[in-house]
Amino acid sequence: MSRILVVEDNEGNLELIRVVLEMAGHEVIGAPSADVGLLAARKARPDLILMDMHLPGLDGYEATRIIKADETLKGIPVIAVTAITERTDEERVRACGCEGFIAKPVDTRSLASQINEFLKPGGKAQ
Amino acid sequence: MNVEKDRRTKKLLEAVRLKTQFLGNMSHELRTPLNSIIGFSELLMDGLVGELSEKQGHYMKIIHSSGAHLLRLINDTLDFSKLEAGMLEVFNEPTDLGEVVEDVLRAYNVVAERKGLDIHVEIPADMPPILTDRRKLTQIIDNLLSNSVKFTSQGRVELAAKRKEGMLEVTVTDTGIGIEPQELPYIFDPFHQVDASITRRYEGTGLGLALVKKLLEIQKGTIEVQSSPSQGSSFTFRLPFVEFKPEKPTVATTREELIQGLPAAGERPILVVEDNPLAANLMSTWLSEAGYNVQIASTGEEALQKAVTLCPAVITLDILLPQMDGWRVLHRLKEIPETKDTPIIVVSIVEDKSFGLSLGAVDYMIKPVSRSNLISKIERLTKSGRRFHRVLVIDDNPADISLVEEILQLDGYEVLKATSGVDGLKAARDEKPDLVILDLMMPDLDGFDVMRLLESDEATRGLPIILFTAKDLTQIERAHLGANIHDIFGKAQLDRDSFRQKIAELLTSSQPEGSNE
Repeated sequence: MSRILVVEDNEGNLELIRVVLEMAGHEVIGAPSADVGLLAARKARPDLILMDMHLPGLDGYEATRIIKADETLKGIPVIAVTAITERTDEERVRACGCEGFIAKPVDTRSLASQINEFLKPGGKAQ
Repeated sequence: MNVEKDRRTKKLLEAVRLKTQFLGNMSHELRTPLNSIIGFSELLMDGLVGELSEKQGHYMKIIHSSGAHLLRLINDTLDFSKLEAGMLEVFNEPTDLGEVVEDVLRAYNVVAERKGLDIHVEIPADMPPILTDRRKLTQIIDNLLSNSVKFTSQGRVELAAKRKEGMLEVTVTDTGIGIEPQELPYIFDPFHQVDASITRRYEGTGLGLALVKKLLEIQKGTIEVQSSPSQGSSFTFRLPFVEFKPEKPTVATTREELIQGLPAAGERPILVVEDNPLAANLMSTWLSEAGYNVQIASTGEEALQKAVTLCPAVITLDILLPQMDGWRVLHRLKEIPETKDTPIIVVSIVEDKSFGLSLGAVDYMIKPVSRSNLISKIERLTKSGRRFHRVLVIDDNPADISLVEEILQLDGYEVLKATSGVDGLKAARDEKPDLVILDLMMPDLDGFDVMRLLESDEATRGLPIILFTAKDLTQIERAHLGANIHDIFGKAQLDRDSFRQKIAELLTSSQPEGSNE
């Protein structure tokens, strides 16, 4: 079981990801904005962050940059959840420091195995 | 006459760009709720939250497949409009055709098996990797195979590839329903489907083949079709066959001819790095008319060679280049001693200004660029060789911003403005100012948060800050100020002279191109 922080401003999508990950046995913390997400990351120390890139205010790219510039947070893998429609989208996601991306709309059948790839073996919430 | 034409072209390009941007935003807004529709219906369909009755399951499948269909429509529409606007760039990379076909087929194997279709692939074993746009090739093959599988209820679907007369030739043949002869001339038109009942029965978007044709055309490819009703169809497309041969760039061989074109001393050229000949031509025309000597490089390797041998005054750099992309070129240019001080303007459709500036570019322009904008930027760089100091003012009160702006302009600084903490952070990161003037009391993120976030972000750490505030700081608050707070000025009784002097002091100790290190 891992602790996963999901930053997603759309309530329905957040709920969807929460249900799928909880069914796979993970603990899920939801954050509706990047500001709240940053706060939650500092407080809860998740094992992994799923980041929607289009967010109001600070967007996912900015938030990821802040995480990756923060000594205490930069070890947490950040996975972008976004519609990659072009090569340039992928470049942007990589450029801001994300370890990987999951295509939107998320595939509920494979989401859990997609994130397993980024979880360290034996990683668990503290 | 030319000026008028240019002006109109510019307006048109801008309109097209806005339209595409609008579609991009809209498609994101449409995709967001669809994500929930598709995802939750999938959960219910899979029985993960309780068993559904047969009827419920059936309806859920309809919701799910309608959602998926809508998503495909949105994606195709966006692609199509980008193509029409000329905003899809071709990016060639080494591509293994066999791998592409295998990837695509994975999605159709289940359907084909259920229908009892035989899918047959024939690619010569000695087919070398080719230089082509892998994403677009995948899209083309995906569209053709999905049509064949969709319109064929029994028999086989076959994909055969070969190299012929300098072209890659791929044929997708099926034993499906075929197309009436009178319909054949129209099947590549957008939203033309043979008849409306077929649209409903087969769930097409009506854009697939139109998209395929356009994707091929922008790569100098062609497509043709042969078909007879109830016998089947056969689509053949051709693309230039450029074999991928890994090799090291050779600097020495072209150096001689490069030196021949070397301009007289004192008249250093502008190097335009751009792989699209139309765009290169346009920029080159504009710059030549403005009196510059222009050199063009169409690949990253060529850009590096020419940058070293021609000593350009300014380099404009496209990002989506074949093989070595612009980011890597920029990085290399900043490493090579001969070119590390040459000002580089990134000119790209990729909107990542802060990344470009952090790699050492002096400026960033989003395509399509306008003539006047390009010329004025180049002029500024060639005349002064350095840009003005930039000061970012973060304050939620517009009147205070105006006051500071007025003072700063006396000394010729470029003033950047942000009216909230969040905007200020964004601007600090994207615009790379040389100094920040910061208000403390703001509604969203206050000045203390902004300071902390600026300091925690590698890109803005160490950026000098002057506080400009109506607040009287307590001892504790003063103790918590970071090392990069250089001074505090009260709003109530601002001493303009010492304010100007302090700013001048801070800025003269730093180079204006703050991102050089």
